[in-house]
Parts: sequence; structure tokens; C-alpha cells
Amino acid sequence: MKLLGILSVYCFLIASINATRTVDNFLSQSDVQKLQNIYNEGLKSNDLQSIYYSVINSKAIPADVKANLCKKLSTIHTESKLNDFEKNFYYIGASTSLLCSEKLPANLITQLKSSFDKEFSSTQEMFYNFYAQKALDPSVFQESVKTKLSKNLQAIFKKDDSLASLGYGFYIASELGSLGSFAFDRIEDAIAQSDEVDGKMLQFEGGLSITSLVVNGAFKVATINSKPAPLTSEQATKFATYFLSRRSVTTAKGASVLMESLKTISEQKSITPIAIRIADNGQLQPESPILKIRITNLLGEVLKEKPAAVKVAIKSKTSIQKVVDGENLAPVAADLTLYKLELASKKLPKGQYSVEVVAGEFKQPSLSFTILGKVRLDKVEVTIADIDSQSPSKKVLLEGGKKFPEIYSLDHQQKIGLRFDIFDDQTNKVISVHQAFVRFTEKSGEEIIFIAEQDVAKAYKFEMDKRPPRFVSDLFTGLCFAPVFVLFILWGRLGINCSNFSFSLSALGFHGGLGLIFSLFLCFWLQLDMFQTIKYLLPLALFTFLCGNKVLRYIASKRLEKPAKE
Amino acid sequence: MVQLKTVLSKFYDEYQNNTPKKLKLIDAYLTYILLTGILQFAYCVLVGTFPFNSFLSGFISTVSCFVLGVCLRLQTNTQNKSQFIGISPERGFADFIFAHIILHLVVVNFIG
Repeated sequence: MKLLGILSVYCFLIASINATRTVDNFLSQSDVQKLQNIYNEGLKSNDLQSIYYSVINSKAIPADVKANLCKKLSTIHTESKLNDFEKNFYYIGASTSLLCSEKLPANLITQLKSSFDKEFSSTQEMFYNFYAQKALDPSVFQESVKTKLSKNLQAIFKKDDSLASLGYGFYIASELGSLGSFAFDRIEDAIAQSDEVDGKMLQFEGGLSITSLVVNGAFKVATINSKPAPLTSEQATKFATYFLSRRSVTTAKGASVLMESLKTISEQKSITPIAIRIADNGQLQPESPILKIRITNLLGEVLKEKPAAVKVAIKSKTSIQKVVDGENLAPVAADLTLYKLELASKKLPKGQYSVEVVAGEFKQPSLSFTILGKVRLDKVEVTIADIDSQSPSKKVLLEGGKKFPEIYSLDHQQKIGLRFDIFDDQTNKVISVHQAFVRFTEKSGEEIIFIAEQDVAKAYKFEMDKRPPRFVSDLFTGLCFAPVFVLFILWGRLGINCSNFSFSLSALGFHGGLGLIFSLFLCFWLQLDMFQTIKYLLPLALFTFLCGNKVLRYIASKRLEKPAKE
Repeated sequence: MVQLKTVLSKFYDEYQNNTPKKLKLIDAYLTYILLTGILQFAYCVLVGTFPFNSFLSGFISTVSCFVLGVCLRLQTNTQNKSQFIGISPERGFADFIFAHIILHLVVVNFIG
């Protein structure tokens, strides 16, 4: 353990040389809204833990929701499968923060109070009992009780120094004032057990809840004892990166501890990282390229101490040349978190750029943005030719963005081809694009889209598929019906036997059902979608199946009665 | 040539006299399907496959109908009885209908 500690301190020394103290993300408005939605769902759930964390994180709970929750808390508590001390804590916590008028069971209260007369066997049990009692009646915690808890805690730390045990213990120690100062010495050991991910994040084995438990607990202990922050700025940045990467939590507890952790770190002025990122989507318009950088704390709020100057250096990703070096960004008046730089005067070609932002002691080494380019079609050539001939009968070349001088009409014996060059508007060079589409729109709003292929001369061209004239299509449609008559004629000559048809209910149902199914398929072709069709098809098929089963059974039995002639 | 003629006429007579009427009816149905399929194919060769999915689903429809028809014919043929023990002609017909419903659901879905 000690070796690990020394090793990690050594690592931090190396790492802190490159300390940047920035993250490229923050808890945005939409993230906060998402977390709030989790709490709103939690208030409706029947899970005791979700209810507790939703209640303590919701600002204004409607009176009817509150009354309903108070009413069902007792039942949910009884049915909960959590540890006794854990579910008691959630029950008491939710009930007291909702200010429920329903009384808590008397035996629950006495049981909780008497638990402080004995020794606790784990910090977890101590944690839940302590905070439940604190929510209910903190006057229990006289000096004598605190001294007892402090001794109890030290004894447990000796036996069990796992991360969870330390995490819960830190919380308790922070509540004991100077009596808990012994816990500060355990922080370094605990932090040393964190795992690094990709050199960017720090987390504890066990995920979000353990990580936030240890980090928050450590800060609480340090603050209450007026000790320096337990993390270096480098570590704080990596923990913050980890917490921000977990913004997609789905449980109320996860949401709650996530927000608590980000808040804790962002309140540590001396070590907290700040968020520096490109505002908007990082795609700058060629007419007015304005680089916008957003600088906030981890929670997306305006920094309390705004940086005196924000400087940027911009490098082109293609040529790796510095195009802007050390220019100051101007604050945007309407939004205190926003800074901007006009790039129009730099005449930057389109492409991708990386930007380094320095705001006082904070540095964001690599953000990316793109300057979009404008393209122009030129040398547009339309050719009209007969289907079978190679040489076009008509060729029109348009240059300089002119429109076609006339409307051309084609018949089914002709084909049309289109060829064009794509120019970069800025450099006037022919360029290749990822894909070029040609869209034909009719006045009625119908459209058809073709993909133009690039040829060796970098020009795009495509040819329209030939289509048969209407008459030919219609003729063949008619012809396809002709064999039906052949069928009827043949059947007629063979002498089809309809006399066997029994007009029973099931026979009618069977044939009617089949007819309906095929009519349904016709509707499917014309307007329905697959899901609607299947919805209608299932009952119809069931009905037809039952009828068909009955009919065919009847026919079979009749056949077996009198042995077949054929 | 004359031999061929006698062979063919004998074959025709055999068919006319020894084939059960039920099978003849199915054969008529198969002929109808075959003709439709040939017409579709002719259109594709002569004119083009322009709405390709429509052509494909139509052609698949006729080919599958033909195959299903042949299956029905095999199952109902009294000479094949030993091979389809426990499968009555009615059962065969029910399968035929069931397969058709599934087939055309897919065909119509694809026809566009």
C-alpha cells in the first residue's frame, strides 16, 4: 500500500507539470433537466431509495404528490427489501423532508435512538443510523455520544479499511468536528486506491456511488478540520472528468450523488477545474467566421472569478501551421460565459482547426472547430441523346451560374445526362465532395434524387434511367390479366364442380375471411403500414383459420365416409 | 417426326384418361401461373426493369405460387400417398392457403 502511495505521488508530480485544470464538458441545462426528470419519475415510483433521493432533490413538490407520498411511505417501507438501517434512513429522511403529518412508528424511533447505546459493527450501519437520527432529532448527539462514535469509528477503521468503509466513515468523521480529525490521515491512503482510466479519469472500483462517497467524504473531513484540499488539482480534474462522463445516470441515487460530487469539486476554488469548450456545434460559416468559446464551472455556471484574459492559439489540422497565435478573446456582453474571436480578417481557408485556449492558470490544449466552405456549380452541361446512340443530339453548356435558356422536352426514346464541376468558392479550384446528389422536383412536390458519380476529370455526371412509355406499361399490365381467362376457360372445360359447396356459416366465413385478407393486403399496398396490417390481420386470420378448419374437417369426414371414386 | 407425334398423342391420352380431375384443376392453375410469369419476364427483357422492386416482387410472387401449387399437387396426388402419410388433401390445402397468406404479405410489403 505504501509503495502504491509513493508511486502515485510520483506519478502526480510528473502529471502536474502538464496540469491544465480544464475539462471539455459541463453539466448543461439539458443535463440538469434530464436529472430533474429522473427525480420527477422517482416521486411517482414505489422504490424507497428513489423516493428519498427524489424528495431531497426536488425543490417544489406539488401538495397532492406530497400527500400521496406521505400516505404510502409506511407501506413501501414495510415492503422494502433493503437493510433495516438503510430503509429506516430513507423512510425517516423522506418523511421529515416532506414534513409529513403522518407519525413515524414509535418503535422505529426508540429502536433508532437505542442503537447509539451499542457499538456499530460497520461504518455503513453507523452512517445510516447517524443521518436518520440527525434528520429526526440531532440533539441526541451530545459530546459523550460523539466521543463514543469517534472511538467506535476508529475501531472499525482498524478492522476494515475498504473503500466503502472509509467513505462512510469520512462522512461520520466530518460530523464529529475535531473528534473526527483522525480520519484526515486516512484520506491519502483512500485516494491512492483510485484507478486511472485512459490517463484522463480517476475513479474508484465500485463505480459512481463509491467514488462520490469517498471524494465527498474526504472533502467534508478536510473542510471541517480546516485542512488543505485532499486532492491535487490534477486529481480533481480527473475526478471531475469521470463524474461528467457519468451524466447519463438513470437512478435517482446516481443523479443525486453525481450532482453533489460536481458541486463539491467546483466549490474548491484552489483546485477545481473549469470547463472550456467550443460553443454551438463548432462549425463556422464562411461569410462570418466567429469562434465562440464557452467558459463555465463544472455545473455550467458563470465563474465566480472570471479570468482576466482569455488567449487562443489556432492551428490548421491539415497544414499543422499556426494561423493565430496568442490573440485575446472578447467577452460577449449578453452571455457572461461566452467569449468570441472574429476570424474574418484572418482569411482562413475551409477545413479543420485545433485551438488552444489559455485563461489565466487554466489551459485547454486542444479543442476542434471547422470552418465550412462554400461551393459553386459551374460548367454545367446537359446532354440529350437517343437511347441507342452514343453521340448526343443536343448539348447545352452553362457557365457562371446561368439558367437554362429554354425548357427541354424528352420522350421515352431519349435519355438525358448532366455533368458539372464543383468549385471551391474561395480558392476557385475544382474540388471533390463526399457525395453529390441531383434532385428533380415536380411542381406537385414529388421529387426524385440521383447520386452523381465523379469521373477521372473530377467532374460529376449522371444519366437518367430510361423509362417505358405509359402505353407499353399499361399494355403489359393488361396482358398480365389475360392468363386469368385462360385459367377460367381451362377450368370450365374440365368441369369445375361447385355443387359440393355447402352454404354453411363456416364455409361462408372461410371464403369471406380469405377475401377480406386479400383485400387487406390491397389496402396494405395502397396506404397501410406493416404494423397496422398485422394488427388487422391477426384477428382476421384467426377467424378464417377456425372457419377453414371446420370446413375442411367436414369435407374430409365426408370423403372418408364414402371412399373416393378417384 | 411421326414417332414423336404418336408419343405426344399417347402422352396426351394417358393424361386425359388417367389423371384425377382434382389434379387437372391444379394443373390448369399452374398453367395460368406459368403464363403470367412468362409475361412478366418478357416485359423485363423487352421493356426494362424500371420499378425493380415491383418487378421483383411480382415475379417472386408467380414463381412462389407455382412452387406452392406443385407442392399441393404432390400432396393431393393419390399415387404419392405413401410419402405423405397422415397428410390429407384438406390438410395440404390448408397449408397451401396459409403459405399464400404469408407469401403475399411479404410480396405486398416489397412491392412498394
